[in-house]
Amino acid sequence: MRLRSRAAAATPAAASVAEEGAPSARETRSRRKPVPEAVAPAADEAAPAEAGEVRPASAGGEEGAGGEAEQSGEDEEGEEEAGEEEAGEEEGEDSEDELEYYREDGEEDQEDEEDSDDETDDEEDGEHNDDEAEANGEGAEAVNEKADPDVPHDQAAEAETGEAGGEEDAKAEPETDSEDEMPINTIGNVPIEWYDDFDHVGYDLEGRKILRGARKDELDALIDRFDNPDAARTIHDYVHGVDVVLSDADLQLIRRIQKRRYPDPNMNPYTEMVISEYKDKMHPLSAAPPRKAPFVPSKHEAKQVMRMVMAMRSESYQKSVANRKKQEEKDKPNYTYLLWDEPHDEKHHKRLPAPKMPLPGNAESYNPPPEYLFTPEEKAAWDRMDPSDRPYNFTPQSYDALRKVPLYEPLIKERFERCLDLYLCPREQKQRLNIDPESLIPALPKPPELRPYPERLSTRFVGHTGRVYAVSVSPSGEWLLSASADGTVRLWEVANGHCARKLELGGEVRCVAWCPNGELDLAAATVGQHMVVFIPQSTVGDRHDRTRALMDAAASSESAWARPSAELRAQGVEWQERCVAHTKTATRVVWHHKGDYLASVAPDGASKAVLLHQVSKRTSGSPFSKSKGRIESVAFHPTKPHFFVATQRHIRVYNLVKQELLKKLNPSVKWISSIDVHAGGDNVICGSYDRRVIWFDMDLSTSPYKMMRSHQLAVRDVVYHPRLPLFASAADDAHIHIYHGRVYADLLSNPLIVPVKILRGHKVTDHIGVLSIAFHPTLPWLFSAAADGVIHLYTD
Amino acid sequence: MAAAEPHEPQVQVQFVTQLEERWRVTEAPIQLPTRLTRFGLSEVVNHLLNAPTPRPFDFLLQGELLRGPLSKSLARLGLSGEAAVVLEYIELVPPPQPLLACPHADWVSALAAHPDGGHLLSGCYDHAAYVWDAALQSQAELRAHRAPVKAVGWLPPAAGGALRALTASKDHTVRTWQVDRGGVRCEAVGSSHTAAVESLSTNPAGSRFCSGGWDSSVCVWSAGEPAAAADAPAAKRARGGGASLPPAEIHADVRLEGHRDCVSALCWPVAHLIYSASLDGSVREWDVTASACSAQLGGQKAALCVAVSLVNTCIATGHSDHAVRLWDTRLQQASLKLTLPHKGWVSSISWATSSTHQLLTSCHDGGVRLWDIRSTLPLHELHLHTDKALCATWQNSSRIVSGGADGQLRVAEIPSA
Repeated sequence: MRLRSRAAAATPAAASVAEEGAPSARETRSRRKPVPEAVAPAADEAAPAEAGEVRPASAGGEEGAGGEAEQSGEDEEGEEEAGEEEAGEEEGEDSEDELEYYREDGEEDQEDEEDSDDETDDEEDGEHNDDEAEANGEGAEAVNEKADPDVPHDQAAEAETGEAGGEEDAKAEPETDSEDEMPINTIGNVPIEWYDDFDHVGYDLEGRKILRGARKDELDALIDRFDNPDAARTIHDYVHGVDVVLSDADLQLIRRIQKRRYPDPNMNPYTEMVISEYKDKMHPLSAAPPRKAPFVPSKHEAKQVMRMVMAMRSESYQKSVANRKKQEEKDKPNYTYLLWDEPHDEKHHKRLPAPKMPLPGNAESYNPPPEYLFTPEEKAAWDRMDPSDRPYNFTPQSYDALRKVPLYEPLIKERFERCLDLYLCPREQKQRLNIDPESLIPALPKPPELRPYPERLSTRFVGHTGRVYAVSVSPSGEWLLSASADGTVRLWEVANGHCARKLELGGEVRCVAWCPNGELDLAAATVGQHMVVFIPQSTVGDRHDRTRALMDAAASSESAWARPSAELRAQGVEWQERCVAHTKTATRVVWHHKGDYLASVAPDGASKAVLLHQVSKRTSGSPFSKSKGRIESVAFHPTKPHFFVATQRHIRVYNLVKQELLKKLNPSVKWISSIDVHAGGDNVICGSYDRRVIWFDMDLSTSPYKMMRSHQLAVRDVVYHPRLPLFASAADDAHIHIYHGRVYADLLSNPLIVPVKILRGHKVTDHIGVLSIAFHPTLPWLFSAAADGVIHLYTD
Repeated sequence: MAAAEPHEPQVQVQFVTQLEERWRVTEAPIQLPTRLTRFGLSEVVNHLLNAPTPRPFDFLLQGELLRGPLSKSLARLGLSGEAAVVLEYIELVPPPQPLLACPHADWVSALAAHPDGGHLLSGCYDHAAYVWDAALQSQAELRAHRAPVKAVGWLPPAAGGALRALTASKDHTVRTWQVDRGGVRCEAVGSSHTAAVESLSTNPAGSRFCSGGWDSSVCVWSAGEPAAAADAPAAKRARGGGASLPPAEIHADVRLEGHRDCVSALCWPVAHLIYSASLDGSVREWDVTASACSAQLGGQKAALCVAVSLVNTCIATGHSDHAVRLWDTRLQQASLKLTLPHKGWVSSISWATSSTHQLLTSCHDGGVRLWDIRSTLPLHELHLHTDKALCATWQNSSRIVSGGADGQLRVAEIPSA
């Protein structure tokens, strides 16, 4: 009876624990273990003691030991009724009360309506039990030896039984410890109601279902309560869905816990302190004295040390140490700077911060606005575009979620290149001069301010059937002579282009030049290897008479000229230079300004490339015994006895009187085609086959003063206007460029050169354009002879 | 009458004229659309006249010939359409019709029409000059020069009615000729020039003439008396025997020096004034009595021809920049009045005898143009020559003669209205 009441007192606590769904290990163990044989007799003993009050229950218990499941519902009902009956009668009887509580608590899963009265009773019981626990806490011996005055008389026996039970418990433990076969529900801390609709209550460790025991309805429980003798110590394990009959050991354990004692009755909280025997050494292994050797200094070591000391004292070592220190100090990186400080060292004071990455725009969005997405046409255009021309290095695409955006493949490459940019790209602030390029252009006057110059084509002189190689204007400006490949020299009236005369000179006429002496009516031409002198006009007059007289004057003894054939005489040719003739085709004839001397040039003529002739004496001579190269052109100085010889690359100026080289002009072109000397004599222009026109100011330097590269093709001829500040150049592109070239009288001003006009109109024939140009002696008119056989007159 | 649409701009026009009474119309202003051109206005006037046969008119707006729509001229002159516009209408010069052609052996370089209105003298590059009658029948061939004849002129006829001609040539000489029915006689040859002679001009009385050339000087010659009666038998002899008398040597009375280049054209409109044009660009006025240059005008462009009109005191010069310039001589400083653009060098220029406003020019583009100096557009443009037109002159008030580098002498007639 005592034991039962204890067990009953313990059960509410256990039940409340079970109610919370977290059964303690001990509870679980006791619950699962089969009712031990040792306990069963005790229960049986207790049953008769109880029998007086709760007989039917005990009877039921005996009957239904095997088939309690069927009767549990009835048992419960019966017990309830019994409980109600007894409640009023046996107020003081603890054990009865406790049993009542236990039953009600045990059925909580079925009857949710928990009565608060039971709770309060439970507390009262707790107080009561507390007293008992205090009594227990006084000492194990005290409990065992004498009966507590507060405790009813049968408590002493209970204590004995408790001890005995404890012993039984200890015995039983080895058996019950083997919990391996016990299924442990693994569903965790979930409300067990979730499994109400299943016939299992969870899963064991292997994942097998833990089947619920057959559910008892209330009637079964009531019947069971009366039938089953263990009904009072049967609790329902909600977690595993089985009824568990608590063993005596369990009850004892519960009771001890209720009394705030150690659950283990063998626990001695007041053990004696054991003091160790050995304070110093844990394990004294050997008592042998230590060897002497380790304490004697080593002689060998001393010797080694001595050697090292000697070496360290040596001078060389000191030096090397010093050097090494220096080197180390030098090599040691100076870490004493602020890592994130702005760099301000002298070396990098121009350092610029790296440009920031451009911020992503709308097109880089994972779901850009539709206007950023490509239409098929834009896509095609994008594909056609060179990658470097594209505005951005990706194709805008739309995804409905950011997580669907695929990996951006060139990411690593781009990051790497960005790093290269940051670390390797030299960034420097450069001083740029903010100069308007327009301001660097010299302020040249506008062409209309520089009038007059040849502007428009006025007259075409048509008649030649071959290339016109040269043109020459009479000193008066009335007549024009032209030399052509068709073997004729034609005389034209300038004013209206009337061909006044046609002279058949019997061969390709490469050059013709009117004698600059206005008093004479004389011209020279080159036919083949010969230079001929002829009277272009067949009219009478003073000039004609003078010329005739000059031509017919008795030749001097050293005359090198010969009278031509009668046919040529009929054409007006007076004299033909024959003795010192060129060996190759003469291409150029140039008069001295006084009209007595003239020079003819045959570029391939080697030593006889240049011949100087005198008309009055009819003599010829070769001034250069040795060729300086292919001579392209020659010119006389207008006032001084100077002679300009243009070889392929240089222009040499000779003094004819002193017979010495005065200057050597270097135009730095590849092939000079023609030269002309300014009327002042100090400026020379030179045209070259490599498309350049070069102006030399001989007062300044022997290198070019100005180089004009305006022609598209080889420059054939350059010429100065005899009076006006004009010069012109003609080229194979059939264009004639007119320049204003003013030479100032004061030495401080450099010549002013302004291109004013490009004259077009000739046709390119056989890749040759304009071959020769000549200015009118007084007017700003220009005559040009071209390969198309036409001569043009351009007037202002 | 042109139907005036309501929305187009209109202007009040008042028609006035100086024509005779039967061609007058009411002077009340008439509302006319401004889009009307000369033709439309002429139709309006004809409608007002109610003449049986329409007669074309030309219109003057503030002294300028109307060319193009009326609105354009109004805008250019800055006239508002509010006040009535006074339009003076004159007779339209009908386009000259080519009449005759006469081939020459070489380029026709010079032409001169006899004041009698019939005879023509043409100088040719074949060193000869030819005399033609009104029907372009050859009358005589003046061949004595040894170079192309560059200028020709007429002298007053001799007592016996023989024509007297004047030629100048590239051979530096000037010759006077006497042409009668029997034959041609070179009266005199003047060799004062030291270079080719380019131009000739006779004074209004015909007693003197002047010549200019490449020696940059102007020589004034005395035309001399027609051959004396004593010479007549000799002339007859020459005609009979075929051998002519040697021409008399004459010398220039005055030599006017001043030009720096060839004297390309001369004009002697008043007894004491000679105008000379030169390639140096200047046009000089010479006082013959003082033998000095009295005035100079012009610029840099070479002057190729000159014509002086006494009536409207205007000098017209042709230049190498393809333009004819008109200078007003009334002012102390001759001022440029007008520039008439051409398409080539202007080789000759002559004022009309009948009208004070008409001007005839020949151009190197082959065209002969008739101008009214009240407009910068030519009245008529005649393409008489396939090559350069070298000379053009008025044979009489309605006939135009021109010679060119195609060797043709052509006559065009302005049909009378």
